[in-house]
Amino acid sequence: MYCEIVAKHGNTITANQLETAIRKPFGNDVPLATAYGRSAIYKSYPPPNSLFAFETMRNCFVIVRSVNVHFSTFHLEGNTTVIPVETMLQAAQEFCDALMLVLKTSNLKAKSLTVQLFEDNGRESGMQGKRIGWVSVFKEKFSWKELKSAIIPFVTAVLLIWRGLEQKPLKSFIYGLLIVLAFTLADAIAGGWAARGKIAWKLRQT
Amino acid sequence: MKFRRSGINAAISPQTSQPANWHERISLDLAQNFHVDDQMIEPTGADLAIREGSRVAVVEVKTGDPNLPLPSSTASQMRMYVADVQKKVDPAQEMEVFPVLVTNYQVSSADRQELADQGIKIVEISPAESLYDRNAFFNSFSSIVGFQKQS
Repeated sequence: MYCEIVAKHGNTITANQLETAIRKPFGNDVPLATAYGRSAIYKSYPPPNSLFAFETMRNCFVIVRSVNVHFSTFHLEGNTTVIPVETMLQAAQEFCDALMLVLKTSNLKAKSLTVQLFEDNGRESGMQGKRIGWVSVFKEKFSWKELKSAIIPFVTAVLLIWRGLEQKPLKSFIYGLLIVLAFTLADAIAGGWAARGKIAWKLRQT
Repeated sequence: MKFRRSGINAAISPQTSQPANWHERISLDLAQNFHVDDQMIEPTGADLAIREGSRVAVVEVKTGDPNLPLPSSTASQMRMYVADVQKKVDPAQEMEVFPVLVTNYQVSSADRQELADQGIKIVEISPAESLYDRNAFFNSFSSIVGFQKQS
């Protein structure tokens, strides 16, 4: 198996800029022909062009495959077939950390990094990861899914204070219940609209 | 007919089952509307082989995150499949075997050029499954590959 790491850069980037930025810091150059020879997919069918290749952590190597406007693509694979996938994923993590630092210091900062795992025949394994950053954490934490449970008591409290019902338990109860029902109804309508017509699969024990 | 995904062979009967994902839906659409030759792709990893006369299209359906560029190993993958199929073809038959990539990844002009240089035809599909238009896809596939849809 092998990984493809795609860096999305904030600005346009050229192959020369990338090579100048990362070739020296990573060092440990490997001739491209040697790197292709170690790769399951490129051994028999080498690509017409790549930039350069180098050894990286945990007995893995990286081929800098291409640079295209905003994207740069890296191929990471074990030097031998006995390298377990877990080790390769760890190497991908460490390489991504190092790459982000190197790119940052050379003003080629990457906005995002995506890692995809492929089978030896080039097929997607279905495993894909994104490097976690502040933006992605904030997006997740401030998503409706996360905020929903907190918004209902918040709206209830605001309404009760606004209507001056803190001291009237029955009315407070009715208002609270109506708010919960209104939110649940809105959620059900939105969920139903998005999921209509789809088959809901369940794993049943026989 | 068989579809392969992540090393798992899943048999799907067009009459009884729904395809589990977009990749399978496209493969199934192609299989139901063009003349598929399963024997040609056994035991390669390719999704489909479509045959019309002396021409065989080795089709790979690559669906993934549409915000990402086409995986850089795609051309090598396609060449591998075609070479595997060519090994099975009797040279006396004089068949033309060519690769066809169906994808929703971003295909840059450089990718397009690299694939074209290696004789790989590209059929681009909409980025998201919800935007997939079957008829538009068939028209595009037919015009790029040069095969007629079965009526």
